[in-house]
Amino acid sequence: MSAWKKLGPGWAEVLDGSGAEDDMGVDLLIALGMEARLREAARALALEEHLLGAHVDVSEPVVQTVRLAADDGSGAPATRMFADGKLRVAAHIDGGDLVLTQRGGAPGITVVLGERWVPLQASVPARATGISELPESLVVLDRKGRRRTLKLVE
Amino acid sequence: MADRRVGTDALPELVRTFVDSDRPGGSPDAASAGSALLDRFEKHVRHMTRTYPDAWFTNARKDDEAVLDLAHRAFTTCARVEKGRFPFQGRTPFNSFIEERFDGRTVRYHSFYAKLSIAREIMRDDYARNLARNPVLRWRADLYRQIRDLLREVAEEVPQGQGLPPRWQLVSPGIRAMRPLGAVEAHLKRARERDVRTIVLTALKQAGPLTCSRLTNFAEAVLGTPEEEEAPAPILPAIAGTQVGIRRAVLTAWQELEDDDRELLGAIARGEGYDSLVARCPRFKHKVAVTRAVTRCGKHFMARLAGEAGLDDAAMPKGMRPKDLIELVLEVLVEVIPDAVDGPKGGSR
Repeated sequence: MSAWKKLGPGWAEVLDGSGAEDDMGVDLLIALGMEARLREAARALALEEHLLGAHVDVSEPVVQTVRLAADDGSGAPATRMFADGKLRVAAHIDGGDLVLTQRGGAPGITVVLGERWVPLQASVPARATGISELPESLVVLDRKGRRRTLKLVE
Repeated sequence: MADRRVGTDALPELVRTFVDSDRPGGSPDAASAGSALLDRFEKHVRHMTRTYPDAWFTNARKDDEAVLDLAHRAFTTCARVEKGRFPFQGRTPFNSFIEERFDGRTVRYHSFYAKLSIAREIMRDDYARNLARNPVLRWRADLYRQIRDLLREVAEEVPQGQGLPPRWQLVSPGIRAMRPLGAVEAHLKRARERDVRTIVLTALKQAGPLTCSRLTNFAEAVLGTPEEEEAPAPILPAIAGTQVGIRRAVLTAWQELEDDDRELLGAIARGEGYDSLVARCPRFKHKVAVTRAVTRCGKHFMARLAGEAGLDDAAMPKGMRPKDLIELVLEVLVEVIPDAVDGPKGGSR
């Protein structure tokens, strides 16, 4: 392969046969060009994988449920409220399960917990077994199947 | 203060307290606010990085120290670096979070979890630097370069939309049956295919349009990653004096070049194609002009290096490899040549 090809597209076509490749210092220029091309490729490859989201998992860790010393007296599980507008769902952890109760909004919602769907009735607790930590937010589907995200409000 | 307590998300308040106390005349709580905020950064960066391999970390090694270092650099970037892109628009990320009244989730999204978050941008730059310096990863970068050159020659770009790299496809006259890429890979492995051109063309023919990085990973899987070489010895302090001499020589040589010769050397240091140079500097359209300029630049640089740094073209200074010399020369040139190719420095703007 012509040494000039190492400089990139087009250089060999113009410099082949010039005899300059044996001149002093030309090796240095060619090595410089090769290194520059490799660095540019490194940058382009990293950018491409970055834009494509290689290795990206956007999920946050679930919020840790922490019992404060001040809560110890009651012995009752801490209930937290998730809401989006009038739609409100109370949640607490009970014996390693997540207990959900609809407190406001139109009836007929379903809470989506990963692969599991938990339908709720107003004021009737529903239990999602094996979930021992409160999520940071709740995704629910309303009666018409519209997706809503309820944020932790209290 | 802790966002560990359910029902409270202290992150926005922590950011505000830190920024308020981190200015001249601010409250004396800077240290404790900074420490509490940094603690959050460490926690989230540890979680966010769990899916990444070694290549994306400082020195291409994923360990506690590297993850911690990343958390600290993300914190520093959020506190000090004014970023141009949305949603920062010329502000530091912390100032943006305060002024836009972002809630905790949004702060975490832009700092850690978004595909283009501050922490992931730093990782991208570390990965690019590793790709240019680590012997095995350099092989991957060179493979990407070869494949990109080939794609420009034989394929056409298929844009994927804003913010995404293009895919490439062969110009094809008809409908073809597609196969899963995994099946194509298995077939090429069985056939012990070693030719990059054949690997790329087979993938495009049988699996349809692909990005250049996907093709690089595919070719790497077929060819096998080379064995890791022994890490090169670091440049010895004893030759630090020589490095200074080389830096001085390169700077002097650059300053003495004519404008046209600077254009030529700049094109080489940017890894530019010849046509691009000619478009900017039509004088180099003529073979004689470009040949003479190449010879002149090479001679001039070697003469300066020999004179200033005590080098001659027959011998390298003791303890220095030719690659070290090239890296040093390039590092000086990137300081003086606009847009010369460099390893990235810090998070992108």
